[in-house]
Amino acid sequence: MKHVWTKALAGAAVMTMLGLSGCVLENGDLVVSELVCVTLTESQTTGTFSTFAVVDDFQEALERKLKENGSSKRQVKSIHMVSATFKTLTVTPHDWNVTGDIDIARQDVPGGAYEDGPATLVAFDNQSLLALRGKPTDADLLADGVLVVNRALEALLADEDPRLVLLVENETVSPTPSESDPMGFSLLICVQFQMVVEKGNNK
Amino acid sequence: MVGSRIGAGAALLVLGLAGAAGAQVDERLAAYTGRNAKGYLAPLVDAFRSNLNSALFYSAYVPTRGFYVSLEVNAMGTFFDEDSRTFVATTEGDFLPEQSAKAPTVIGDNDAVYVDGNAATQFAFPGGFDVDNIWFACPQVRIGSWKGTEAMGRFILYDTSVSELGSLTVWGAGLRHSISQYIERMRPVDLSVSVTGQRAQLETDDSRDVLEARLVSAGVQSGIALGGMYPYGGLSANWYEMDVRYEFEQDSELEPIALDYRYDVEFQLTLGIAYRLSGITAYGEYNLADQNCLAAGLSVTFPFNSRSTTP
Repeated sequence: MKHVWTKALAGAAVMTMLGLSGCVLENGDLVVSELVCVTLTESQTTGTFSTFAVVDDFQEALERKLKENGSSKRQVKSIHMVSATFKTLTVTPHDWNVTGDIDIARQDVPGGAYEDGPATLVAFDNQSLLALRGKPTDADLLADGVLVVNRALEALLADEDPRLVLLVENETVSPTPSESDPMGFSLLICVQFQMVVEKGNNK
Repeated sequence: MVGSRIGAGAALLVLGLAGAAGAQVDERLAAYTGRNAKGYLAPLVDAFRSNLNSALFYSAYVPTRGFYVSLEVNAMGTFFDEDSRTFVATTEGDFLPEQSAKAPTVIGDNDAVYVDGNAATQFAFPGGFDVDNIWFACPQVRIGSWKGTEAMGRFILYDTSVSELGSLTVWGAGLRHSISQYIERMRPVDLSVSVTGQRAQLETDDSRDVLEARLVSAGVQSGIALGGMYPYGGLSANWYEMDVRYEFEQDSELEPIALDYRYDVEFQLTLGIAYRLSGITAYGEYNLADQNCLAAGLSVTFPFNSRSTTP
């Protein structure tokens, strides 16, 4: 049976008498959350285009977060993606409705082969760019893309440094951009992940 | 960046998880904002109430006159039932779909609880500390008697040694008045009534309140002297409220979190026994309430021949 004593410092004599000398606690799993974001800035004069953005600071984010909590990778029991949000920061010169996918792939070496993926993370169907406000309900995630992220997160724990590439495969835009009416936007993509950290006993 | 630092954090450190363990409470609270944090911490808040409501008396006898002073030391322990180990937590943040799950409270199981969301996403609720009971200690002084009335006071000052938390102060004061002095035919049964007020405050070094609790208890006590033994009992009504304040870092901004615990009146039955030898009395009691609590204590009364439990 475990006891937790509250030290009531009413005097050393009282403390000594009652033997309130400390406690042993069995620390439970700690949950640490972190967010990694990337901004995609585009200017297009056609409705069908491909572009990409790189997320290569997962390892930095993970290590910073673990350090803040006085933990190490060895203590991480599991790591998983919680959510992703999409928020347009600027849309010029007017709103655009886009149909296309954002795929995700692991590509540790720039320009090299994909280690994992690509898989579709989110699909937009005639989506107003102005309506992307960074709310989780703005877009439905797809499991194949989330699993690529989850595998990359797990690779972090194996001391790998995964580099994820977000591939924008746009099919159509309404109205269609042109030289005289170019589509401009910047999109903030954020991925939230959680680590479950085993803290061990605390004396 | 979604952070998870509680500025003034670990408000409940003082409720039982002292010292180094406090930082661990802090870290777990960081996983929660308001509504979940309230449920996560509730068993400790309840235990604090139960412990403070204990060992307020160990006799229903109050002499009608004569000076005495008793120095008392009490230890109170709350034993958590199975229901206290979990609460219904709700997923937070951008996780979809929002859903509820039975998750460990701060005194619950160590293991995190996971729920599955859309498209292979997951949300984890933190584990607890797997604590069965929490003990609390406090010194107390009792002074009497004026027309069958005695005064009781208790005071705790605990420096957390954490600058963001400052010091915990708990003080309480109460009055007890003999009723049996007016009813001759009640002898040898003693009867008294009492009212006690207690206040706990955790204030940071820059005078910000992290925790404030107020507790009022009114009750009736009875007991009978059987040689050196003195079995006693009491029934009380308790009013309790607690406010906890801390800050939660989200997107690099500190958001204030306020947890206000408000309770309906709680009724408590106390059953105990005391044994007096000269001026020293040892006592133990069990309190049945929303959260049951065991208490024991030792009292030294001056002068030794005063305030006998065997009048």
